[in-house]
Amino acid sequence: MTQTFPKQDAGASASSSVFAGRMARARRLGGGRLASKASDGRQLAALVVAVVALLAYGLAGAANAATAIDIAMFVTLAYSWNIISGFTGYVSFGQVVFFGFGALFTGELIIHAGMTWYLAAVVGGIAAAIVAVPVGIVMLRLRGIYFALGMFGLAYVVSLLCSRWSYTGGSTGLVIPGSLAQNQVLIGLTCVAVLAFLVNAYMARSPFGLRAMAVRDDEQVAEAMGVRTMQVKVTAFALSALLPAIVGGFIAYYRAFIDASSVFDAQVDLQVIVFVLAGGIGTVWGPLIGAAVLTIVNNQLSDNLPDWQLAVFGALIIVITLYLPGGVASIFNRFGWLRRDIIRGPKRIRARDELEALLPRADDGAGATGELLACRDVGVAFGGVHALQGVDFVIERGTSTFIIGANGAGKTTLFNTITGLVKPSSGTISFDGVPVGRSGPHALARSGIGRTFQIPRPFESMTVWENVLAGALGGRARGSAVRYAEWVIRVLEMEDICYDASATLPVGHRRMLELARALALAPKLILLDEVMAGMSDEELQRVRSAIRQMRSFGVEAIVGVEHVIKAIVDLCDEIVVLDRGRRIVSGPPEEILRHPEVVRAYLGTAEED
Amino acid sequence: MVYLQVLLNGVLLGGFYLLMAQGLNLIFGVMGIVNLAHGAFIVLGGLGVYSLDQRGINPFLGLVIVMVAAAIVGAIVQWLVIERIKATGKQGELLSLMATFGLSYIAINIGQKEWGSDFKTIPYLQSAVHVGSLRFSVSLLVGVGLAAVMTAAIFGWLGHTRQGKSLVATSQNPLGAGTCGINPLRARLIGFSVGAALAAAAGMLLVLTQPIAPQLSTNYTIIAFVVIALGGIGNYAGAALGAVLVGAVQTLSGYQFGSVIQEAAPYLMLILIMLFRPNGLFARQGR
Repeated sequence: MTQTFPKQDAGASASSSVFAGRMARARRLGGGRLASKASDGRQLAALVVAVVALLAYGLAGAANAATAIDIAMFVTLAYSWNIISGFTGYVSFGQVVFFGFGALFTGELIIHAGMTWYLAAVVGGIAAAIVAVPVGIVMLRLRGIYFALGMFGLAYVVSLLCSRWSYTGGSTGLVIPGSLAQNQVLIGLTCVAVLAFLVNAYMARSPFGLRAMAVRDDEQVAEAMGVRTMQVKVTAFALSALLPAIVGGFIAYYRAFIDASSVFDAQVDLQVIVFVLAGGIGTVWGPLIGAAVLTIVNNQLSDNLPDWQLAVFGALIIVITLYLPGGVASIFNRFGWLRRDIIRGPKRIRARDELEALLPRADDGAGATGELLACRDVGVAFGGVHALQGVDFVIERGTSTFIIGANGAGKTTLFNTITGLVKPSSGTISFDGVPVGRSGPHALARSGIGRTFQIPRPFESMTVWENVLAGALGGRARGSAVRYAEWVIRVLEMEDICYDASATLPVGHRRMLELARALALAPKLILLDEVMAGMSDEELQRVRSAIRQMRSFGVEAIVGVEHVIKAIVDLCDEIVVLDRGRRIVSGPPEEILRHPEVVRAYLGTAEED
Repeated sequence: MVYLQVLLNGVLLGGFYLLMAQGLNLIFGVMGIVNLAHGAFIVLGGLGVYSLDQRGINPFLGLVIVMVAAAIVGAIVQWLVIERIKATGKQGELLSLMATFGLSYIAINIGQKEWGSDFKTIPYLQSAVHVGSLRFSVSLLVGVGLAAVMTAAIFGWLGHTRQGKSLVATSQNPLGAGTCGINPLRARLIGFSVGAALAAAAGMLLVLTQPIAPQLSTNYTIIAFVVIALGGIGNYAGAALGAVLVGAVQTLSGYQFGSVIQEAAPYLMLILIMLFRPNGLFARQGR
């Protein structure tokens, strides 16, 4: 199995050279990441400085306090928006609905229940998070600009309803009893802002954050890697409802008067979006920088240039867009500060035998026999086009099967149907004795179906390591996922590219990444969609060797799609031939290659081979 | 009979919405630029016609002047701002959103400086046509007629002229279009100026039928987005049906349930339809 591989490095010297290479690479690539505690310390120090500066300024006088409250409010709103829109990729134009909800809810609690203001605000926040769950389940089915507009519409509709309903103040508004407690509100808001920062920092480095970013980069692939996408999205959505609602409650108490049109003001949302984009979307420090700086600029403008405030602000936004498209955080990143420091890789990738001692052995699949996957009379229709018709076949444990057929024969559709991305319009598929039926793609992935995609679809904002880890996290706890991901990297000998940004990989490496990510899921059945297309000879050998080794990953059966027949004859036990959505024949390779119908339909003329 | 009148008024209102959406359908649907300044173009166009009318220039002549002016402004905006955004895909979409948001601030500010925040309208074509017991205001009919003509013109331009096809090709793949001898810069410049001119035209019709003010810009932007989302992005026939549907549902529900529902109707429609038909109401069901 290793004769074609470069000699495998082992021991400490190799690891230290890997680490040095990675340091060099991390400087070169934006996606790189240094696993040092020093960076944590610096960030914490920066946070403390920011908080002290805000409080020192804000507590110095009444006029200062108003500005400081504005800053703390917008920083929190910016961080909240960053959770759902920056990290999870669902850009919302209507998160202000939760700000308004919190304000009104807190107002009612103070007026009718006489609750203390900060307790009321926290209760309001929790209520908003609870309400956000069903709202999210519905709204997060919308995609892209529709989700953005849908949220805008939702905020608008809620605002209209509240402005007509006397209980929420109607058109006259609510007066909230309380004293002018600027300093207390400022301290409360600062606490929430710090909490918002911590949530963002958590998003940037936790397995949950990694799953959210997988959803952002490619939701379909995330599903196929076992990410419960809806759960992740709704959780992120609830988090980005909780914090604005608490802020809304504080602001309601602070202003002592609220009405629907001011607390549901769409302008607030649009400003928050611009703040985050200007600071750097999807970064930990961007929202803070953007919101703090632009809030100050905006306030200055409204004091000094009230007539042209909007225009100057608008021009500023355009300048930032054109000359700083990554936001202010991208300047700092250029110098290596504030660099994204996501889920920490291990300090060094441990040696293979060291890992194997830690990992539970996955050799139980080696001797298993019997039926793993069965497709019976499967048909798929898109509109009037029958992509698959009456496809029957059974995959036995311990076998590898390749599907061949011309372009458009339905090979990829078959894979999509097996993995649950496409629902069959007729027939049944059962995996491991359980009908696939209604399970979503993530449930199937977790039950043991791994796949690669024909056109490699890495999570582009992540490094190779994070991609593999995202696969390994499907159904595993963090510790064992890290070990397993390390092991996969070792076995596939991808140490050299481990910390490269996946977006810039050449095609051959992208395919290796697809394979590694699918294997990191530790599937029982792996579906390989043209993994050998467009590869160099050396890469081809690596993939072939990986396919031969699949048993050691616990893979019980392999199903592949391939065009290069020569590359697979010695790898497979059975070939299934598809033609225009139908299975025309199947059997052992020698038999299939001589079959007259196959020769005619797939290989072209009989003389050719 | 009352319902028929309400329904027909809704259909006529739909004609307006269609014209509002036309320009955006070109800029967003075809060219892929999330233009949040669209509503501001509409309002400034309308207010421009209003000012010309104050100086004794007939609104229809004013329409021509304003459309030309908007086309020039659109070309400048495209050249100075949009063209300089280099990113593509999701990132490009976000940046164009941000830049046009900045533009809308500038435009609204200019509008407020020049015209103030009061609502303005031109009392013109106030008479009504009676058909049986049904009554249609002439300004609405003219508006719908114009919307229909412009829709047909745009549709023909995009599908059947060299320039229109060049624009579609450029939006789909600028590199590919370049290798076919199209100048992508020029195609996009023309596209954006046509979109801006259409927005200004919608503004002129708007100012004839209802009072407008700079601060309403965002509302018009959103309605335009809703209409093209319903019809399927970049789909002209779909947008026409979407606009009529929004207008009809809005007036009917407003008549039946009151003004809150009337204002909420477009958004509720958007959410419901996108949940069940994510590619728009009239898109062919694909994979």
